[in-house]
Amino acid sequence: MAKSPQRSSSLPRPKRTLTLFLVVLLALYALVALINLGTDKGEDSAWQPRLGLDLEGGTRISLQAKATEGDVTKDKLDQARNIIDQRVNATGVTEAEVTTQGNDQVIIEIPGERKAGIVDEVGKTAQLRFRLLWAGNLPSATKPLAAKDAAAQQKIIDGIDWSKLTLDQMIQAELQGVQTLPKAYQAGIAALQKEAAGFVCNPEGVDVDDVAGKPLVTCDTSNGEVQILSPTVIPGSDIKSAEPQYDAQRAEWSVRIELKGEGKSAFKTVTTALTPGQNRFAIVLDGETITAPASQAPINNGVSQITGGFNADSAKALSNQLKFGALPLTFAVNGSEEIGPSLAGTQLDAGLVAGVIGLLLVIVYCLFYYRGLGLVIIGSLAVASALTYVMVLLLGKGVGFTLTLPGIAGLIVAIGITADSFIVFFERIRDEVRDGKSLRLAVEAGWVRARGTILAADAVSIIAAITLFIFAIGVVRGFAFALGLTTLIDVFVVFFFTKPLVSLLARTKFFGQGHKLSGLDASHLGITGRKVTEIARTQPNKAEKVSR
Amino acid sequence: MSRISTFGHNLYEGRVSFDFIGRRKLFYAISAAIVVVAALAFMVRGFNYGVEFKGGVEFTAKVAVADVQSSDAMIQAVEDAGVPDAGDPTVQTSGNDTIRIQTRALTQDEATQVTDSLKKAGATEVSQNLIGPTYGKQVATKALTGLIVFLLIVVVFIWAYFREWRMSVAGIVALIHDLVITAGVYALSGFEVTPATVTGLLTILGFSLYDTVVVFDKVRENTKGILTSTTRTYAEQANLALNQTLVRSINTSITALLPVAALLFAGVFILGTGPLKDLALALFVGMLAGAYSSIFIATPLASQLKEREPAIKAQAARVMARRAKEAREGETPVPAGAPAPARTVRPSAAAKRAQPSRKPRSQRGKGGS
Repeated sequence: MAKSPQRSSSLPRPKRTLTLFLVVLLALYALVALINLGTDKGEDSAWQPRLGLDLEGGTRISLQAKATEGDVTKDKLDQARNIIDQRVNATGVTEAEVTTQGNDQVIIEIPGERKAGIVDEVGKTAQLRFRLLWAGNLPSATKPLAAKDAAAQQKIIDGIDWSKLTLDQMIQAELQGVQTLPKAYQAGIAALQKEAAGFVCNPEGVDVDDVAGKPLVTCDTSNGEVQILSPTVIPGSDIKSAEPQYDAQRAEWSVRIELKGEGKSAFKTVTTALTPGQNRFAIVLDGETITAPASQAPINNGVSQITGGFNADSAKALSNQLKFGALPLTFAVNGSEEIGPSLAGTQLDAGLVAGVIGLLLVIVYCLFYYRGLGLVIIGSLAVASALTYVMVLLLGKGVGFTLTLPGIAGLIVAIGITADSFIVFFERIRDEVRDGKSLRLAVEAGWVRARGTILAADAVSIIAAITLFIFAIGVVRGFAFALGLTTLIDVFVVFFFTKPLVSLLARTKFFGQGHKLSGLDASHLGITGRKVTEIARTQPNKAEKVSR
Repeated sequence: MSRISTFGHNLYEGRVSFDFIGRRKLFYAISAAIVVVAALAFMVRGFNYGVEFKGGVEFTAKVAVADVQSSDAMIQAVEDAGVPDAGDPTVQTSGNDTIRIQTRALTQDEATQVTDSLKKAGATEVSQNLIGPTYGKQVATKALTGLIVFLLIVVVFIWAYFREWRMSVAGIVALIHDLVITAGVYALSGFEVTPATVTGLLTILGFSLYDTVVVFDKVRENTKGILTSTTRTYAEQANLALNQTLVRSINTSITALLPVAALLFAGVFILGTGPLKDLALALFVGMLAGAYSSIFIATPLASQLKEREPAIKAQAARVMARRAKEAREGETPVPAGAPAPARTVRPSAAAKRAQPSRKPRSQRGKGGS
């Protein structure tokens, strides 16, 4: 509809800008289409925005980290996140997402199914312990012990006070057999052996009650070896550091651990007693043996290496686990939320209804007040919506941005802020016309003035969004992100769509000559005695401003 | 319709003018009264904190028809669950077929027990939401940190953009005014304060300042080179800016409030309870207050602070002197019938009278004439 009878070279080239804008918009949509082609059928379509749990349904657990020693650092939190991620996904839940938030929060989001029981499981601290291997290389049972029998054996074990055992007694039990233990413990040993005989080593993870002061029956899930382990000889809190390292000569990855305090001396005693020979000790994480190495030499300085079939990744993973187990991070459950899919759907529907009603009201008002120019506002809001939608899709794929209910609210609120930019611009054009400029000049001059105002005002919104995003947690963040995104889109649309479109329209007969319905006619602008195409006759000084 | 735009034109030209700056004492008084009421309401009634702040469990049950009967059935089901802590729950209907039940803090097992009991009583689908008592507090504390940082940044931003610390001060005062009023409305209405409310309050910050910045921008434009002018005082120019942006302020407020009103509508009438409603009320009240304060508080205050500056004072005196002289010489620019002598003694010419009619801008010449 853009007809330009004559073109002035001093004016900007709105057609080119508009074309560029539309090309960029189309390119973004093409990008989504491309991503969609690349995704498997089983995955969600790229055309679907990623919905937050409050809209899709599922379970959200927020954990609050507390450091019992020192501060909660970013490093510690990231390690904790990794471990929790492993735990959640080890329970067979698919697509559970574990993220850190703020300085001390870990958020677990499990879409779809409702899994409230998971709360207790992940809330536990990773516990790493060194135990002696009283009996190893036992086969995994095919059928687990009946619940009644298991409970009976556990009762026997629990009835014995294992804490009276000295380190030397425990070592002796490993070297010379468990029968060397005092008589009081023999019933417990028999119970442990029965438990071990009925122990099924599930590669997905073991379910045992790991208590530091008691012996333990568990297994190494990597090879299915069932073991009877002594009470803890070195607690994980005695680990000072754990690093993966590479031995170039042997072309082998290993994990170097350094112990501190009592653990250091206990380790010396244990390694001295176990060297040389086939006797091993076990490193147990959350009840599961992660490695059971033999000691090759007595270690006095508390530094040791765990070797055996590591690659770069597994060595790093183990050292992380060791470090994490050694870290004094505990988690308290801050909140756990379960939302059914259909209930979530109600929220989404209400949000969308609100958005549509809001948009319609704004459109009606703009048409009523700005008439023809109202169409420009509608067009701008339409492309802004299109741009917002595609950005939500792309950000969902790219940085995992999920649309939550507060986020949708943020988008709805932004309709008003976006429309304001157009209002500032249009009012400026009118002001310029009233000051005596012709419409076409007024568009350019009004734009120069409106631009500053729009940028300054949007800057405030952006500052608000960024500050909130950095400092806030939970729902506030989603809202801040949506607000920041739409404010940026607002700037983009005003500069590269609305302004060139108005420039272009000002050249048309309908708008440029001030048709009655264009919103730019003389009487609508409140000027008399001239047409909007004319420069006011009573204007000797051109359009000089008092303020200039 | 065209009457509105003619009105806009007249506002712009200064033919129709509302004396915002001159009557500032009145507006301050009105605002002070509202703020006092809001603060009192807050102190006496306090907030109705949501479960996020108190800690507890929120169950959402889907039933055939959400009415008094099914609500009672749900309460009975909670009582029957055999969980002593779950007694005396808060129950609200939400939409046509959903009931929200809030209890005190329960363990996971107890919550599951209640869920089972609700299902037995006829709920087809039950969601549960275990909330630690510190969750809401954390959201609020973090938001407060964000708020303080935001205020500091904005003070610097406005000061840097307008080169005027007085505008920073006025903007912040207006902002606090808006926040207090919104908080007061929450205390008075008894709407629940949830993390969504906190979000709403924070958005008001952005919007309130956004609106203020737009008006200040016009004030700055109008008062550029004011020191060399002998025809207009700072206060008059600021008042003109307010009048010139009045149409924009009205339009913006309407377009911003319309979607929020839709949100409030959806929150209250479609859902009944939930984050949408909490958020929308805060936004609605805050945006109204924000639009009001940009015009009636922020700009008059910025102008008042500016008028104290010696140079501006002297300039205002020069303008007054010149007007007095003109009046004595009978060259009154004011149309006949206007109480011309009255203004000669006023320190601020933007007193209760019609603005003097002006020549078109183009004939006024540049400042200093």
